[in-house]
Amino acid sequence: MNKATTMDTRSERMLELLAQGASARVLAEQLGYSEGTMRVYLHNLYRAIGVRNKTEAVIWYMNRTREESPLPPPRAAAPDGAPPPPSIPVGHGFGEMALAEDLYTALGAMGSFVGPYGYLWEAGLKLKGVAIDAKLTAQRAQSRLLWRALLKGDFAYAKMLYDDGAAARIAAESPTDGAMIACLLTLGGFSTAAQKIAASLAEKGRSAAAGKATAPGREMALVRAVSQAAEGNESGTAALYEAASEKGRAPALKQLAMATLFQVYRVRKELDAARQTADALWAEAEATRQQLEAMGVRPLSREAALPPVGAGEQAVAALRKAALAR
Amino acid sequence: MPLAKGVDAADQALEILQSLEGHLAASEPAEVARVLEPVIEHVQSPLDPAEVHAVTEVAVRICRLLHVNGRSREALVLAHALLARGKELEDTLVVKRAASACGLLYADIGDVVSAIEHFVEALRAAKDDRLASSGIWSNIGLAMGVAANYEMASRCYQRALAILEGMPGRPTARHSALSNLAQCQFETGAYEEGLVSAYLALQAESENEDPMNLLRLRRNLVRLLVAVGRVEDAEPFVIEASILAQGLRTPRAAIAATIARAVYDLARGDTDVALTRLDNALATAREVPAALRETLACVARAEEMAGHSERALLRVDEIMDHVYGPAVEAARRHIELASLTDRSRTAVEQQTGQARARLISRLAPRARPDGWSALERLGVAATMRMEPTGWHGKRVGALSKALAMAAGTDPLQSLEIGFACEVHDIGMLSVPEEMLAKRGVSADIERSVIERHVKAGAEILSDDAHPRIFLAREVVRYHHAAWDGNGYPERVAGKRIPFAARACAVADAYDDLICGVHGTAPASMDDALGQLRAQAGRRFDPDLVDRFESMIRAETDDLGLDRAADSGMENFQQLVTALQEDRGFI
Repeated sequence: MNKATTMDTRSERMLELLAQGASARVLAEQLGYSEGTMRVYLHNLYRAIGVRNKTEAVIWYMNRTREESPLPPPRAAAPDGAPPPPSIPVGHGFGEMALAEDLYTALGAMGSFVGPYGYLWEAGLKLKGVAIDAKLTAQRAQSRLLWRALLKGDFAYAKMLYDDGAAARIAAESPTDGAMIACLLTLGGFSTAAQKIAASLAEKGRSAAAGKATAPGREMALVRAVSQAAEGNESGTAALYEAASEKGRAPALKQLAMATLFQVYRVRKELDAARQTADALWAEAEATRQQLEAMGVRPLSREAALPPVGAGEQAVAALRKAALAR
Repeated sequence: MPLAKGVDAADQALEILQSLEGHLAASEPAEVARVLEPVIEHVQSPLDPAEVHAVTEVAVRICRLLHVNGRSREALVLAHALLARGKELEDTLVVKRAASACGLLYADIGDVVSAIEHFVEALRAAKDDRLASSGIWSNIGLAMGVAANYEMASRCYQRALAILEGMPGRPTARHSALSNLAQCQFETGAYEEGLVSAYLALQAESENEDPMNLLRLRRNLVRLLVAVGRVEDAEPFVIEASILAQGLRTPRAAIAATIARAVYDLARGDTDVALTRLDNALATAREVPAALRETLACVARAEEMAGHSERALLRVDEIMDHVYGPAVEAARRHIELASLTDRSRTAVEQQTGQARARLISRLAPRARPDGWSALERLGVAATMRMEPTGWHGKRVGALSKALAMAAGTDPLQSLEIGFACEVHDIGMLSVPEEMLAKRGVSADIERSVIERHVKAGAEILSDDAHPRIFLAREVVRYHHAAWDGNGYPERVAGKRIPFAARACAVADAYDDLICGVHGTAPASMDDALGQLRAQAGRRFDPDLVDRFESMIRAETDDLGLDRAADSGMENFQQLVTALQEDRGFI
């Protein structure tokens, strides 16, 4: 028997719908049960696959539908009636996946809610009445690539930019991008290169104090903290932690600090801390999604209008494609 | 005759207050306090036991008069003095009346816990007096209603009715309990039951009913009839309500009659008229705390019916954050109440949450309002009348945005607040230049300038469906309201001032201090912070001043700016530029 069919069709369908962001009510409507019954079924399903909530169930499902999944295959309730062993350690659903793969893959479409030039920035531009021109598009693409590298832990990307000579230009144009490059270089162990970029950022700060533009103070503080943390200096980690947990200022910078902190913990093999940091980043993405929703912006659910029963897989594929295209 | 001096003084005070009728709602707090002073003095001095009851009678009437005019805060002093006197003399009658008065006044200013504490005291003093205890239970229900705990309130009214069961005549307590019960049933969605209670109340009406109670019943009837779709039947009650309100001429009566009228208009499809009416009612309700929640709820419903989901959402959020939240928090801190209120509290919270979810699902993606750049330019033109650059508005906008974010508002909403605050002085366009030049000369002139620019600004921004302009209007209208209620419009105080306006007030004052907009010497950034701090809790929301201070400190530290520099203008300009800058964040 094929592994994928060990699960009954109802559970399969439920997971499919959940992955598209359907609520218990929508599930009930689609599958023809009352909402109460649906909740009971959902509860049973969670127990069967060993997760605590909807988010973990979706991650579990996404993991499983990916072919090269490193996680053990799903099981229906064991024949002898004993509870099945959980596929994912309970309580660490997202963090575990981020460690097994990387933050970028684990976040999936939700990744566009966090980091510089994300959905939040886009919605902000609409409110400001600024149109996205070619220059902004290019700036955004560049930042998002660096953000992606930071999430993926792709330190070589920054090294490549540095060797090209592009890194210095980028840092001069955009302090945030410069900071991301410096962080990546530091994390990848290219400390000489990192110091050069950091120095050029500081140079910009000095000239800014005299001129009109503002000094990228917080970005510089972030770079300093990362280089200290990479040397094993605890005060650096503490500063990074503080930047990642601060409230009420630019959210993208906070998320940047979170991603960096995750990588620092991962390099140091402090897996529990890394897991928690990843979970915090997920929570951040979800909170942003909700904020956008309260402003009438639903970047994901518009594409995710529920298709007729049976078209689930194509919908998920379309959703991913749409998210990637943005 | 020395014996009757207390009664005389009290009578005199009552007379003065009654002569103020109509202006009482708008008179200065100090003026009211001055009138009450001799009465309080007499209550505190040793009185003849025979005289005490007569004084109590008059004093309670004074309290009631102040209560209906929205002056509960001032009346509390008198009620407390009376209660202390009653306890000293161990006179249960005085204690009962004074404690009930205290409870009613506390409920009115939104302090539900103190209200219930005093009612319980009154209940103890009332012992076997059925009429009195029924009245007190009714009042406890009112306090519960202020905290939006309608299920609990219903139980209180039912208890009040049960006590009256089998009593001869037509006690007024029965009427008011039934009417209030109808209101609770309306709030919890039990319309049919509510109608039954309301018609029973109508039957129980007697000659000597308090007109305010009659008015409340009419309002409840209108809302219930409209809710069940019997719009035509509601019309006579709408008319009766407005006649009653004209006779009463108190803010409370005006709010109740307006709500009845607006509900009727809405049901008939005249949404614009209804919304304008409600807007006025809301402005009045901000001065009468106990009526604010109800008015906000009504406005939210009306906006939703008119298809303005975003604006309805703003109102629902205001109910949750500023009105309902503090009352529930206060109740939760009180252990005895926590166990009582928990179940029904969640019911109401759920209701509000559902309303919120429903509204959110209907929102269209928000964009910049049409004609915003024109408004921005007008804002610059208006500020140019006070300072040469005209950038005051922009700076206040940037500071307000940062402050809102520091206070935990969502980034996008903070952005909207920032934009709304940019045009806060737009009404200055209507103030003659000669008058602006005289600023600081006399308090009267300053007052009229403020009054004028606030009103004119609100007028310029009126009648627009876009939430940003809507928000801007509130900022314009309330950015001179002081935390303690001494600003303009006076007596709008504390959290009843919309959040955006409170944030704007802090940012506005900070910018004025540093840039010396009103001809004062420019202060350093640190000095200006100190001056804000000195006014925290008086002019400004103390919590927001805290947040503002830490925000400014953190930002200037990041930028490496010297806050103590004497001419801080340049550094300040850099700070503002940094706050405005977009580096891919927001």
